[in-house]
Amino acid sequence: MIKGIVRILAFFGKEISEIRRQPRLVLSLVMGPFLILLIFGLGYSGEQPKLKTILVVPPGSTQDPRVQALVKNLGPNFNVLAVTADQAAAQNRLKRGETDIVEIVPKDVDQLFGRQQQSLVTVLYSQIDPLQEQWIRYLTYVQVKELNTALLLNLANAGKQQNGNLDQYINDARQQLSTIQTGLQVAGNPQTREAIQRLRSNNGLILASLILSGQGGANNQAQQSAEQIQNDLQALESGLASSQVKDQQARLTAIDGKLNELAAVAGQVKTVPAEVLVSPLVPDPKNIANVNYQPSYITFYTPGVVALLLQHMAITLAALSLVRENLLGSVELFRVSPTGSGQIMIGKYFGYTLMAGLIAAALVGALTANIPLGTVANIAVSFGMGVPFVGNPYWFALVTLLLIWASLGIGFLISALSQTESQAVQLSMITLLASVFFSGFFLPLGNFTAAVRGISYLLPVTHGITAYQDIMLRGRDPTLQVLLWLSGIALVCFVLAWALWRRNLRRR
Amino acid sequence: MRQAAEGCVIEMRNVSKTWGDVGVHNITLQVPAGQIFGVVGPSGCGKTTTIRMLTGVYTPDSGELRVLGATPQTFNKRARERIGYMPQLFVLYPTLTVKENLNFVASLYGMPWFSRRKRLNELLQFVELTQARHTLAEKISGGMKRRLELACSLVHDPTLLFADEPTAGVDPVLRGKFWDRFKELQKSGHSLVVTTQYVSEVEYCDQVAVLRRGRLLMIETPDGLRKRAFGGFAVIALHVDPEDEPNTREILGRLPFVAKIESPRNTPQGLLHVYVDDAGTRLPTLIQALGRDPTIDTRTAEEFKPPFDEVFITLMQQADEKDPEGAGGDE
Repeated sequence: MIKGIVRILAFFGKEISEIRRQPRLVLSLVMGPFLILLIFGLGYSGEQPKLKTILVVPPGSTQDPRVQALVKNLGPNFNVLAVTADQAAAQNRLKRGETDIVEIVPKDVDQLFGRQQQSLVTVLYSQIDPLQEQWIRYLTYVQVKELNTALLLNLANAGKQQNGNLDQYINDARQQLSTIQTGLQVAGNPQTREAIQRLRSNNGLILASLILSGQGGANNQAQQSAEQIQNDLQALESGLASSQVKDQQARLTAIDGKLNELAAVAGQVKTVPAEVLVSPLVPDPKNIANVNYQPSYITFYTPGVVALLLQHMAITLAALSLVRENLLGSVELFRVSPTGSGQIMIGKYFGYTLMAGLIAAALVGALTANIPLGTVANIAVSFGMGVPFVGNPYWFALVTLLLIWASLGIGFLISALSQTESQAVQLSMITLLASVFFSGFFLPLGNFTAAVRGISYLLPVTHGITAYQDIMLRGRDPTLQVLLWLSGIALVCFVLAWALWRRNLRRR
Repeated sequence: MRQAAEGCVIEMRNVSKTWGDVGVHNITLQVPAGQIFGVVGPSGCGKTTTIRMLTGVYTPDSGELRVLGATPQTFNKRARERIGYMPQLFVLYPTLTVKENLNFVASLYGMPWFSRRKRLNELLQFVELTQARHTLAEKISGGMKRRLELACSLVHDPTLLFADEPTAGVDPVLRGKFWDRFKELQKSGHSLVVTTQYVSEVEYCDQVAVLRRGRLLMIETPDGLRKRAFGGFAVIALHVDPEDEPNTREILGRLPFVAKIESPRNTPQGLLHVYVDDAGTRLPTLIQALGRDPTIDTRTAEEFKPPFDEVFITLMQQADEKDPEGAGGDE
């Protein structure tokens, strides 16, 4: 038992001694990501660059006030380089990459609207970057949406002016209704038929006014009321000769009721502002994350960088470890000695865990602690890298431990499979690349298909990033799922790596 | 001082280990306890393969093999602790110091931390590395590395030491020191199996196994090897006046124990090699016989001990003539 511990600690001590003899390696492991974060914090604004835009307008309309207004109101995401009527020249500039988009303003908007047709706002771009293409499509969609809202606002304001006539239409309609009621007492009264026709016309005007004010449209109550009035009037007219007066009275009562409904709607329209009519819903986003700091890109990405760094460091150290023993020839010594493969692995795990843990503590401490002036960390903080740590440090330590073990497991697996140092380094770099793509570090996990997300979950860093962000930034404890994933990866990789290493070490 | 163990520490019977045409075939030998047992042969003759089978690194394809009474492949930890191994190449850690490497190997063998200090210091002194104990292994010379490896192989005080070409690439002075160390170890009761390419080093061995093309050519004492090189005879080198050479040949030819008389090539005239069964007992008789003829001027007469390089070359030539394909040995 004691001898077993001595053997395990032989590797623990050896790995520690070997790493501490490489101060440049340790320095680069700590300072490298620290500097990257610093440059990132200093240089990344997080804002999408403005789209360089050339507006192509109908000939002769460059000085049109509406075009001027359009240029003024294009929004903060567009930088208008030129307004021209020469579409070919604009497209040539697009081909030469001098502009991001060419937006063609339709020339016959009014006529088409009059003919109840939509006008196309064509946006040309030349992109091979799908993200940038999505961004252009989204911005142009938002821009046209805003233009439509502005147009609707104008129409609504015009409709409200029409609203003054609405009362008059309704009063007139009521008068016609009274005339009809009186006329019904006298069979064949020509004034009754005339009043019905006038009432039908009035009803149309009321609906039109409501529509213009934004209260009309399919399935709308005003529309339904107006339609019902039209139907009742039609039945009334056709039944003038034959129907019973009693039936006609019932119809008139119904029409009166519907007219009252229309009057009520008209009353509402008068008081509602045009902006509310056009945009009844206004977004009001509120961040309820219970944090006492201002979220920034650097604070958000720091936990990910720490997790990625730890994984990469642990994988690289472990990946080179067993290969190096093979290349040095030390395995020959192990084969003859009474030391077992498990003792070698466990000793190495302990050694690397201690080193990686110390580096993680130093890095996170430097990024988050309030350290006296003059230290590198404080310089970084003064540059805006004061990364918050609002969670439980014990949970952080546990997640770090599991993350290191899981990463070491993958590293030892790579090492046991590799014949040369180049192979081990290559596989480590591939794992790093996969981590950058699939861990949710830059691209959200939700963007991947379920199958590819499976790869994400096999990477320790995926769970490390989630847990670190929860602990450091939200003050939330890691989920059981994260802990189980990390433990599972660590265990499976350890068993596989051990089995392969044991086979490799076996006397032949 | 450790008492030499009785009996054999190694027994091999028809042991083979091959990879296609390469490997070792039908090795049969026994190594008595307390001996320095040399294994010599040209590069690729199977020395390292043999050592690796003996240490349990390789499993023989066939044959029986026992080391310290156990089969190497089934060595338990205790059995492994009784064996020391000095590999052919430097397999320690360049970024650890001399003492750290020694400490590391001591830990591999489970030596308690508190009781090893004295042992480590003794060993560092033994291999003359005390001054360099804090130097990184990558900074020490090739000879120092070999000495460090020797120290590491002895750190747990093994009963049986396997040293695979310990003197390869080492200068003659240091080689001499290595063998001095081996002799000291032998005196203190250790058994040693040492492979070497330097055939002159067989002189330090009690017994020598000569390998050729993966097969055991012979096992002999150093003197026995010389005899083998001369067809089983001892040789007396006799230097007479060149004018007396015919007369001398005639006198010696009449002696019944003289098997053959030769004038070696590329040597001065008057030098004769006289082949006898035993040089020690026949030399006085031979001198006496020549002394009876006052005309013969005998300048020197002594047992001829050719350098082992020569012996080895002769043996290899004889083996090549006898078995050009290298298909089998005679032992």
